[in-house]
Amino acid sequence: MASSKQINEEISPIAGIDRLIHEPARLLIMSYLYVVESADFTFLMRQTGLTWGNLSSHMTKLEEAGYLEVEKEFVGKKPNTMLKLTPAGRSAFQEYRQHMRHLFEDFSE
Amino acid sequence: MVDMMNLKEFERKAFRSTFQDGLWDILIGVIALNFAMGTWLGNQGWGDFWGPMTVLPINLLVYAGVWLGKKYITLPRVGRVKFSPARNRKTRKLVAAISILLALCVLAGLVILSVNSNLPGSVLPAIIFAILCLAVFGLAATWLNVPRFWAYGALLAITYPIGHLMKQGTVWGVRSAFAPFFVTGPLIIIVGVALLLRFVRDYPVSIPEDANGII
Repeated sequence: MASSKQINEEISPIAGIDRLIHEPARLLIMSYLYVVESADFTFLMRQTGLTWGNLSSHMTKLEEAGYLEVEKEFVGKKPNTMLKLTPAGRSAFQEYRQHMRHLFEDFSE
Repeated sequence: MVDMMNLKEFERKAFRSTFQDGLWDILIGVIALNFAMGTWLGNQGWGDFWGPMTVLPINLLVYAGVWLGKKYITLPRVGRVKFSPARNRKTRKLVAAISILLALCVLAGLVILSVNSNLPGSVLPAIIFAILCLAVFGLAATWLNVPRFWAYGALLAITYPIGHLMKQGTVWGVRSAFAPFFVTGPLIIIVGVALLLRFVRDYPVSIPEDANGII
């Protein structure tokens, strides 16, 4: 029987995964925001297929983590909210990608 | 999971989504149709200069319509996005490449005209037109990731040469070389209108469910 120390060592790579990004909907949001400079709520809703409320709740979590920032601007006379990844958000996403890549590389068949 | 998530494809999909409204297709179709319309007007007594010149304002009006359509139909449905500097550089390169191509073709046309005064009977304009269409639409299709532009390029590339192969004289009141544009233009417009209708159906204007959210 494996000791608890052994188990801890085995799962340590998995435990290091950023769980905030790992959630599928947030991963999708982060991916889209990673490949563009910024986008508004409607655009992200269309691309991800998430509902308004669902997207809003995930956005709030990402904003609270400092991964996402909200830019208010005017288009003509109408206010428009653009969302973009912060430098911390970009670097967290890059780390997540590397982490996941290494994790899958380490899986032997 | 990460390997399966292709970020380049995400970016391409996001970019392509701004071209699914059919508005550019309608503009391309109208411009093609106006090749024939201009010549038709010329044959109706407007003259070789004023006939084609008369359709220019129509092209500008349709362009204004595309701009308004993007603002009032597309944006509220697709949303606003600022693409990465790399994508913007790519788009600027495309515009520059197309401008250079057009300038080269105009230059080539002028050189040929100055060398050969019997140009209208020559096959050269048809060849230049075909190459130009394939090059411009091929570039646009590749760089904008909109494959149907290849089809438009090919369609337009054969339109003028087909007209050229037809007997000299008039077909449907239009000098034969331009008559096929009466088919090509509306065909592209129909595709554009179909895309626009599908776009409006598939992308209703979104209504926020949760006004207390992040926005």
